[in-house]
Amino acid sequence: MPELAQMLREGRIDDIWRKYCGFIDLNMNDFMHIQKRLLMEQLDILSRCALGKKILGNTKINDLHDFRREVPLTTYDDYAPLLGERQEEILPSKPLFWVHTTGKVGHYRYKWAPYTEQMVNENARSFVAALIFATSSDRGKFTLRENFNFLYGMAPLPYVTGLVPHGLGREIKFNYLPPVNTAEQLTFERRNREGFRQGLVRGIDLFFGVTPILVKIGEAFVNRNREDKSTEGSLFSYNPLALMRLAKALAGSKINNRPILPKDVWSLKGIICGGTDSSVYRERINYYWGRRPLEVYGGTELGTVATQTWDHEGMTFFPDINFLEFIPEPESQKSRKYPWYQPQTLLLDEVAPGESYELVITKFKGGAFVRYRVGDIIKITALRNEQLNINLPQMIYVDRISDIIDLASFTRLNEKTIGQAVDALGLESPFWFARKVVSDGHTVLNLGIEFNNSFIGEKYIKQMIHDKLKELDSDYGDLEKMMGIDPLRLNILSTGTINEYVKQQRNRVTDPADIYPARMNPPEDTVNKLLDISARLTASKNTILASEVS
Amino acid sequence: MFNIYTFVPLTTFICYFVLVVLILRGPKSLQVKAFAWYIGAMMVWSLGSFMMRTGLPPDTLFWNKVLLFGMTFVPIAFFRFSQAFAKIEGQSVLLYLGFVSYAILAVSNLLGLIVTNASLENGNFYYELGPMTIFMTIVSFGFILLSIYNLLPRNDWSEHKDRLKYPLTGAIIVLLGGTINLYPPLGQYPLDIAANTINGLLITFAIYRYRFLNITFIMRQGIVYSIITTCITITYLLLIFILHKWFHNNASIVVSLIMAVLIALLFQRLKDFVQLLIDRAFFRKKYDYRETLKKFSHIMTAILDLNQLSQSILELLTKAFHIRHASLFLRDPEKEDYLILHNSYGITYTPDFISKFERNNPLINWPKDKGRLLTRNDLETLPVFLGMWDEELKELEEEKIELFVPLMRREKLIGVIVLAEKLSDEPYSNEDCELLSMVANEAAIAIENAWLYQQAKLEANTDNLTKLYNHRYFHEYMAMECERTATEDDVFSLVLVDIDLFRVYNDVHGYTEGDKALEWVASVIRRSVRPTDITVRYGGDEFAIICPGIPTAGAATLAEHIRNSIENKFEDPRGMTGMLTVSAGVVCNPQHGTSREKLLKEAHKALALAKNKGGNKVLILPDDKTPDQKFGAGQQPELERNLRESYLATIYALAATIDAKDKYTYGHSANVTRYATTIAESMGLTGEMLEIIRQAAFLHDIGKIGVPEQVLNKKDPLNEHEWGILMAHVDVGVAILKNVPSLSEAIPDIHSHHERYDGGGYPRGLKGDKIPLGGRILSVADAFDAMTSNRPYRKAMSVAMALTELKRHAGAQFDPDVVDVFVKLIQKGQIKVHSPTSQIDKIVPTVFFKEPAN
Repeated sequence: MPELAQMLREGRIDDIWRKYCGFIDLNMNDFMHIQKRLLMEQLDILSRCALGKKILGNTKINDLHDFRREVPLTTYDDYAPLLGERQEEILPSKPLFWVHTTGKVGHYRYKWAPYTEQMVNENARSFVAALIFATSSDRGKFTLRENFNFLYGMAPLPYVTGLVPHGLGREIKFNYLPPVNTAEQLTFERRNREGFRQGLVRGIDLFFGVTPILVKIGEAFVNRNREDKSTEGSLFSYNPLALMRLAKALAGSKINNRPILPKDVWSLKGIICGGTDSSVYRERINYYWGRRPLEVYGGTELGTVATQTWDHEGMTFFPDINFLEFIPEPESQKSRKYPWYQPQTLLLDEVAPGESYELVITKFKGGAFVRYRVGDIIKITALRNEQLNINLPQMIYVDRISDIIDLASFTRLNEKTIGQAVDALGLESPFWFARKVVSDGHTVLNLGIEFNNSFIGEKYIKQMIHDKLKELDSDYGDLEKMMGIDPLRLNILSTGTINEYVKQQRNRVTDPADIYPARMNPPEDTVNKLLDISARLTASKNTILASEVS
Repeated sequence: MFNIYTFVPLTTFICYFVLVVLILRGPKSLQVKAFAWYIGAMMVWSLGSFMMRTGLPPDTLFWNKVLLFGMTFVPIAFFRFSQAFAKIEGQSVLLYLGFVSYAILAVSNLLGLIVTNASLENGNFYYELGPMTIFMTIVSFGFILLSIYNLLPRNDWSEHKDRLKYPLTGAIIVLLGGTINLYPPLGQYPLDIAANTINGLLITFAIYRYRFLNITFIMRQGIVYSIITTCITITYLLLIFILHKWFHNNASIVVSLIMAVLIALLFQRLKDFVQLLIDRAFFRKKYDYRETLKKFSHIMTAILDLNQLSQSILELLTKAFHIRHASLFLRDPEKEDYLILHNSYGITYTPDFISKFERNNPLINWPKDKGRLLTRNDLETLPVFLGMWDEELKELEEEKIELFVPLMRREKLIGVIVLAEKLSDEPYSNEDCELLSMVANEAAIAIENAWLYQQAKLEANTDNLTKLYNHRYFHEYMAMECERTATEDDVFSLVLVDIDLFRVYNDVHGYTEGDKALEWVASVIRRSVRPTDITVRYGGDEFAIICPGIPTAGAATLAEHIRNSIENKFEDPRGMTGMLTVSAGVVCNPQHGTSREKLLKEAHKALALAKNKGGNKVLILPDDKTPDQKFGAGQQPELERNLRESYLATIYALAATIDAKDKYTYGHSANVTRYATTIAESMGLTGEMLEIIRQAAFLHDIGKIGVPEQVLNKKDPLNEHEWGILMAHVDVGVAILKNVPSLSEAIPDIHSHHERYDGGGYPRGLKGDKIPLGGRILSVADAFDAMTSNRPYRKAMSVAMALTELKRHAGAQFDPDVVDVFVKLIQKGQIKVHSPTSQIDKIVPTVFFKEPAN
């Protein structure tokens, strides 16, 4: 089978587009046909292994109807003991790599996921598609070439993003900045710093990383000669090639009468961003780097799921990586409220535009996960992309389901970590909530806490929680350290807020599960109500105090 | 001077020139580019060597320097090629060192520091080596050794071993040739260039045979014209040059010119002739193709046998296109999958090729939708093929499948021809694809015709009901099989399968159900046999299976499997299993005979024995040499008779038990028997018919053995479930009695004794005369005795009241004729009623018999 590099050398541009990006031209029938066929292949593989027998049971699954009726939805709990010990003999196929999450997910230190050779190849192929889209100006017109300088800012193995360079090696050769072997030895911060330092000498054609890094570099350029000289000093070297590049950039900036921006120094052919909050940073990256980032949606257990195309709008699903099912959001919420409830799923040809869904996947090509609830909420923005004439549903990533707060893909905070930070205050707190909000152009943690009695100042409480979170979660600390972001917004709720809220809810709702608000990611209207009650209680206390004083 | 020493480098030069032209026309990967540089350097070396030996101006030393420019670059270029081929990184310093060394050698060459003097004297070449020769030797040897090291086989690229051995051998030969140059007495001969020539030939062979560097020569007519014309022109010029030299010494310029013109005329003819040969060579394929197409037309009209046709098509295609192997898949009209019909292999035999494409396979869907050839490139690049399974792709890869040629008729895909790559490894050209499409169009028509003919033939040989082969085909095939086994010294078995008591089954359930049962039995047989076995509906309820190649034991296992499946899985129309059984007789050719007639006779004998043993048996007829003691002729009838009698005794004992179970119905069977036989006699029935009614009457309730006593003796009205249990007794009765051949005749009467004349009874809802007469008589006799007996829920009725009831329901529940006869018999006193009570009933029965639903 011709590899991408060979095809590029032979000038087979049309063939390359068809092979890697042609899936966007599928119609829904063809897309579903691929999905169903690969599902049958996976079920055939699963039926021959211990894991498959555990998940599928003894029922013979003959078709999609049987599959959706007989096979239960699963969570990591169903796989934890087997995958945690990396028992390869129970898997459908021998894995080539084991990857795990960044940790702290639910009860588990890590979630492990095996990747077979076929899965690595399919994921590489889908990533090539994303690279082609990232460097495209129109259908079939792209600038991706061999030996591009590729600043690969994502985590190396054993994280899922580390699979990409290994898989891509079968397709095309890039000059990784820094080289993969070196990068795998470096910390996240040093890897990115080293990558940009080498990029200054050799140039950067492609970037794959988390979006806040690009924003931070952009801000460092703008703020140079001001407060952030340390970053600049460590990044810029006095290599002649780097100086030439800077001189050229300086000339460009003078002509345009503005500070030097990264786009003056580097002319990136493509930017790919993984992570959860790329849309927040998109326009700033475009300003600093002269190119909008292309979002790719994926995950440790998922592999690559969907990618944006050259319009950088909604994402299109890959047909051959996962079998896709969607739980409508109300069903998803109901199943979280009542764990016994088995929600109904929809297939891609059954989803509706404007609706949000919890994603359920079954891995193809010998993967382990079957009808797996990964915990992501996505939204179907449209059933087709009118502008680009893509006849497949378009999606955006919304967020994790309530149990996790993911900040710019740097860290994932769960209820246990936040609870520990609150408990460490040593103050009696009947209720707290945590959620993700966008503040000052960054996604940050919004924590609301009610204390029974507290005479400590809000600033001091915030500092204590912040320090404890940094101690418990070094990735959280990187947000401040690397990005210079203050990632915590604190709301102190008036004493009695939760009691008042519960009292009101008792009169309003019939389902007992709706009386108490969720701690993690409560809905917007719940938070507003809590803040409203808190404000009224504060005002009333102030009035009483004022009257007492008077 | 021209001599053998000049022709060697000239030939080498031409070889390399052709190679360079061909290589540069193809796709240029890094390896190919490096290889082209290497060959280019060799070409310069050969050119210098040739020109040097011709003595052409400016002088020998000049051409020797040209030779050295090429020769000194060869080791560096070869080293670069070895790096690119083996994908070795980290030797860039060595490569730069090589370029610097070459620069030094080039300057030294210009300054005359490698070869200080060179001359051609009397056709012999003399030269003197300069001080830089040592440096040149070190550099050349060093880089050639490094190259050989790079190209030594490694574990991780064993697939290149074959492709590499020729260039590697060539490199060693060049190294040896170069060594000779260091010794001038030998170096005066063009041994180095001879070594070069051998190297060129080895590389050319490697390219052709092993697709070295994936270079494929696409010999376009134009290129060959150019190359051949160049060669002829060079040869012509050389001849002129030689003649000129000769005539210059020996004759006038005029003679020289005349000779030149004559030679030119001769060469023009030669050129024309060679071009004609090229034309033929290039158009040969087309001639072959046309011949092939003509052959297709001929075949189409001549062959109507589908197998033969497909075999011929594939054979022609594999020969015409020099294909490794090809396969023909045809659409299965029932399942719409595409099944392999024939495989044709050129040289390579691959037994595990895919044998079926299911109808939704993209490999079928795509050609079906597009109606055009599917190429390997389409398969690798089109997104609709993302749904292919890894196993499928692996198999296609292993089988080197290159093309799927659809066979379309009236915009429907009737089949696909699957072609592997060509023996030459050359890709299919557009011209090939166009021709294949044309051939496919013609083939589709031929195949459709053959298929229709085969269908017609099959229908003529097929039983309409069971879709098995019919009696006629059985005899045809048996004759063929007997002949085959005789000539091939093989065996085959014949199994005759017959449904036990099928006539009774028909009587009980009706002919529609009987046909369904036949279809079901046929389907069981069809599913049980091998694809090579022939299954036949031999007669009414008799089937035959011809099993080529297997002896009696194997056939008996098959028959036993069929018997077992039918016994355990067949459900009668009322959902009961065990109602239908089969017996089978197994014989084998040559064990039991070698002629069709003898085998059939023996098989029928075996079947009859199985039936006589009570049916539901498989019996292998013992041959003469191994007499079966168990079924010895003298003992058999007596044993069978004893068995039957024993069974009969059990049945009657059971009937008595039923009566005894229920104190209210004690003597019921005897009463019903008496009433029924009297009615039957009055209606003119005698002999066997009367006996059948007697048996049926006595045993009519035998199925109640399966009805719980609490249901039989329940005082309250029965609920729906209990009614169900009670109603099933007629079927249970049949199941018990069907094992006794002598009682089988009574089964239809027993089975129908609860049918109503108006069609509202059970179990089958038969109406009027459709109900066997025995059943209608039993119905009246049974009802009368029931009414005139005490029951748990009521007292017995008086005879008068019972008769009134019978008359009231005549035409609805009872046959009016039978009621009429019965009433008269009672009135005439020809039937004595043993009523348990003489008093008039005060309790009027609310429900005697279940009323029809409507």
